[in-house]
Amino acid sequence: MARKDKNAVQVDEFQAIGFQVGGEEYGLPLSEVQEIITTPHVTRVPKAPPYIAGVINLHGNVIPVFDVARRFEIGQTNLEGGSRVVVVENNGEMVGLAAEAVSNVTRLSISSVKPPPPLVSGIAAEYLTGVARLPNRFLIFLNIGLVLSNDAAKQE
Amino acid sequence: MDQLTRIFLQEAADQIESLESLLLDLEESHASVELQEHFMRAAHSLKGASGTAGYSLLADLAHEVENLVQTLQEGRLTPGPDYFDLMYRSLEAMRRYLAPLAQGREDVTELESVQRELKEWFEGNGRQESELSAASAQTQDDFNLGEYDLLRIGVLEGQGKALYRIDIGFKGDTVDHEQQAISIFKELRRSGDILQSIPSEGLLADIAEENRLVLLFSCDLGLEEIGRLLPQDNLLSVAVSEYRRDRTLPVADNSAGENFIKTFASEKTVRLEMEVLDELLRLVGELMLNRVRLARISGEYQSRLADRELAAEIEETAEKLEHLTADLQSGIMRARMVPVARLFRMMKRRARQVSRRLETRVRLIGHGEWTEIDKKLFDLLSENLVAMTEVLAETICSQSSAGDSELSVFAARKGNNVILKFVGAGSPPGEDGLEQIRSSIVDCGGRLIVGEENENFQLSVSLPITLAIVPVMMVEAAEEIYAFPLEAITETFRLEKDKSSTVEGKEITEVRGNALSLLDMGDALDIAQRNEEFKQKFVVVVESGSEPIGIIVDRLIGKFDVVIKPLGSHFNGVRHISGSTILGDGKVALIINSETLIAEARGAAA
Repeated sequence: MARKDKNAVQVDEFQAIGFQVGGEEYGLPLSEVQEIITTPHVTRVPKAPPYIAGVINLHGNVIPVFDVARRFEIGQTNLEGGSRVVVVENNGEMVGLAAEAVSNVTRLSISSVKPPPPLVSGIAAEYLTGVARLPNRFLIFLNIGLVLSNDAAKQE
Repeated sequence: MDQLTRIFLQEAADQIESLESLLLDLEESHASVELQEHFMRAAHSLKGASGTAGYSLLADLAHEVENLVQTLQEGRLTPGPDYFDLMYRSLEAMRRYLAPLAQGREDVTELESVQRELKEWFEGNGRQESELSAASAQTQDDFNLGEYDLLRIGVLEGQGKALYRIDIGFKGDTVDHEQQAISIFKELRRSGDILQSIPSEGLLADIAEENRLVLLFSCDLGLEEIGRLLPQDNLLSVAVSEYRRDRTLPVADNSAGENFIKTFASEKTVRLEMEVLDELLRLVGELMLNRVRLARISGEYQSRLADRELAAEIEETAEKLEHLTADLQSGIMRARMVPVARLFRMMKRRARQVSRRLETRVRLIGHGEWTEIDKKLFDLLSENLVAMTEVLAETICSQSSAGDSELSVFAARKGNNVILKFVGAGSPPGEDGLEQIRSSIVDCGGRLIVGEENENFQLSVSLPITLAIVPVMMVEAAEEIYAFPLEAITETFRLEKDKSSTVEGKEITEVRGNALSLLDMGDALDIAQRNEEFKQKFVVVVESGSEPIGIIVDRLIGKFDVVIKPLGSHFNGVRHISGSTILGDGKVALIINSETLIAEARGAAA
């Protein structure tokens, strides 16, 4: 019997990272993450929606930085110190998510991600794909496409 | 989708655009034999290409359109606006059919409906029914040789090859004629070139109706040897003869020569996706940043390094890098330029539509169509500029009592800008009709100036030569750095503490005897100021249309050429910011839309 490569991901598993905003930890499948960078200088954009912290220079492209906490009006992400920007792709554009901290890559089984209750930490269930319970923490998985959608934001 | 299909779709789109352009010219001078021939050749070649690519509906339509112009050539009718409407509709149907094909969607409804219209038109104009059927059923015996064909023939003859006409008759039994034809093609190609065939290679299925195949073949074999290449036992008849063409290419005719060059110029060009150019531009931008860093480091090294020679070498290399980067950048810029001729064509069509709608003729006359603008700019603004043409055409029509009016457009390069000047009789259109257009122009770093002169109105659209790079004045306000496009700035000066006063809640200062309204940048952008203490300030005077406004900032940094980076869809509703740029230290600075700033200031004053 061949020795199982312990680094291989099983079919019913996936890898995810967690990023911390305002005391909560949000999960993102690794496949959705383009890159994670130390927060560079963020240029404020006057008169932009309040949940956009500003814009940054990512390899010569200017991309927005989203503040998830402000998006759901549950506080504000602290961009100082060891904060990070998690870059994801949304509708063909690169977008950064502000994070106070980012955890290491975790392997999760798909079955451990449960459907979210109606309201999790102030965020409506429609914006969540699920909640995963880990040994000493919860990972709240966001429906990034919807969270970043302009239309959804406008309708609120 | 395979590569060949993709190439066909692109080529076909280009061909249809040429046809539209020719149609515009043809409408002006429908009796011009040269234009008619040119149009028919283009339609014919579109037909052939479509047939080969397997789009037989498109091929059919191209054939009909070719026939339409043929009736013109035969002098059988004087074309009225209905005739040309039908032509435009046909071309548009083709264009609209092609567009979704690239995404794998096919919609034949419009094509079929235009086909029916054409059929009706032909019936109404006494055309033989047989000529309306499948494109392959041409009864013409002679090959329709275009310039490209003639050139090929010339080259082959130069190689000592002869031209033959091969007439093949198929037995009328159950043998698969198409299959036979395909193997004949294959066999002949082993020994020579097939220049043309009737029916064309893409429409071989139509042999079933005709039982006949005619080929124009070039090789260095003799008559008998060619005969031996064909499966004579399985064919009804085979006739091979030397082919002499009646029409020779007139060498002295310059226009034909030009067309030759145009055909072959296209072989010297390369198709490039805009995204590739954008990426190259971005890389050049990064290169520039690093070059600046290198220059800074070299400067520091020079003061610290004892080795003068090494320091000098570093500086020399940095300078060389600067020149190279600049050249690279302008090379890429040039690749993005397209002549405004295409825009003019679109505008002419719109003017024509307005004419038809309002039943008053207004013609658009373009000057300077070879002036070039950045393709990006074209993509962003073409719709708006065509919409402006519509507004202007309507304005002229509503004010004119004559049945025939003109709208002139002059395109010219002026320094770092391209100016498009629209001139027409009467008063200019109202501001509301132009608001949307004005705003898009300004977002691209341009300006729109409306004026009147001698009972004519003049609208000047000033656009940056390239959307990518714009000269700006960098300023600092509320601890952030902002960029003002230089285009909008008339002057800058230092504001002394006691030189401004407040009149009815608005700040005013005096410049050379005139009052100048002031607007604080921090207030305009709702940026919190760190302290309200009046430090020495500076004023950037911007102008749009009539009255200038002075924008108060903390510091003037200097003039720079910057690469514009768009902000993305999340910032669509953001006022006063038209884009961003990356500074030498890697930070992002926002580019101010002075037009909206002024509009808001004026609005507040009202």
